[in-house]
Amino acid sequence: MKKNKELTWALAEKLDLPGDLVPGAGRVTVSGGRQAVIEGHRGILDYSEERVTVSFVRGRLSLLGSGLRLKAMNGDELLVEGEIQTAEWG
Amino acid sequence: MGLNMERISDALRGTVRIEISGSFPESLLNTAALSGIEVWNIECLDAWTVCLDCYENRLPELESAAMDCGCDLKVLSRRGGRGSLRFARRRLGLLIGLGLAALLLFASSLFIWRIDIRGSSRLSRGEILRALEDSGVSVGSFWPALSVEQVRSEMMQRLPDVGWMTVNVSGSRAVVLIQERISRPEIYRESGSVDLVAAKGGLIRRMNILAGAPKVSAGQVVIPGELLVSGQRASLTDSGESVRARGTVMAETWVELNAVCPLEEELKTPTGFSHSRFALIFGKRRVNLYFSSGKAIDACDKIISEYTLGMEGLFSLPIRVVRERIVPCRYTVGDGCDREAMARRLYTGLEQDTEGQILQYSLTEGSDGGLYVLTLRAHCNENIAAPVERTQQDAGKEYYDR
Repeated sequence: MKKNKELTWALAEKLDLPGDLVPGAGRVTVSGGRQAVIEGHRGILDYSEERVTVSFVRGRLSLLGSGLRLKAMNGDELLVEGEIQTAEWG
Repeated sequence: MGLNMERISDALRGTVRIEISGSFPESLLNTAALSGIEVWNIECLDAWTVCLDCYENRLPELESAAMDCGCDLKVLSRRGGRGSLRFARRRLGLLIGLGLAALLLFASSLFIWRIDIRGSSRLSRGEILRALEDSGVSVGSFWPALSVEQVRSEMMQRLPDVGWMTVNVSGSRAVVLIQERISRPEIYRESGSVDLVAAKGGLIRRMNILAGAPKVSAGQVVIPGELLVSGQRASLTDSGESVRARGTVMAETWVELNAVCPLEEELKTPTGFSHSRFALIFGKRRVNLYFSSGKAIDACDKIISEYTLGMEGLFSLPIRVVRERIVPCRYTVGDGCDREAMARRLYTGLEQDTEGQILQYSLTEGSDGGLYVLTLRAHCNENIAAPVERTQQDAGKEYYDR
């Protein structure tokens, strides 16, 4: 399974395709440091006013800041609002 | 609009505010997301407690997911949905009343309750309203049955001064736009025989004749109606040539204008204790909200204001409120002459009547038989030539009746 995903990424890189076209790849859009739209997530790992950690197929994303709030959530998308200071991918 | 539609949708579906507490409330959020349960306004109260909104119909699924995740779920509040239905059931009478009011408002909007007229200057509002009523447009008319073309054609037959008109109806208010007919200008004919006669008596100072045969000369005194320039010009042939005499005859004139006013007259003074009374007009029927309407109010000023109920541009109700403000007055005998105003009017009249310069003027006051008389005497230099159409009977005439 893991090998298949690696192959998909390698193929996408060879074909010069945008990363968000790869199945299972997450996409994060931060607007003005106040709002973040996260697409293709696999669930929340941690949620507090200072940190929101979201799981993806390949890794996890941590948004750090103050007054963070999950404005809306469904199976694919997440909307986070608040003072976003740092985004860490790991 | 989009936001409002969203609110209406939420109100119809019903939403609940819930509190989830447990060792790992995020797991419930993930389960909800995977199950396709939409959640929003997720508020983190502490590390073990989260508040969120979801649709009321997904609550049972969320409750069972909470049990699986080992979380406690508590409903904090409910909005819309079944709650609203219960509210509506308890207040059925109010809802029926609101529905009936909306229905009446809709039915009322199909009738004309207010008529505004725009664009008329020569025709009075009363004339137009009478003609509109005869054409089928009046307060209480069912406007969907109106044909603007028919109303226009009937109105133009009834009022020849109307060049074009239309009726626009919006929210029980009919706006009648009128374009009055432009009267035909007087046609100036180059041919024909016209004499120039003296409009006023005076001493001729200068003559500038463009057409016609002069009959007087500078330095001569003329009386009103005297022939100044004849339109009958001598010709080389036996018969004389008829022309339109044109030119200016500048003369010194002496004008006297009088204004009179009674020295004593009844003056009306408000006593200051005014009161108001009200009436309602339903369509065309008036209901007075006061008694003793037959009481004589001759010694009072009555100021009537009318208000149409409704919202401008949206709808008008068939009810108008009439306010009659009655100001009792006292009659006293006094000097009602405004001498300054009389002098101003005399001078304005002189200016309008003089086709030239006012060289000097004076005002004299006097009284005659209980009347105050103000006399204005003026010395002017003006054009006294006035054109007069000459008929065959006028041939050889040297004076015209002025």
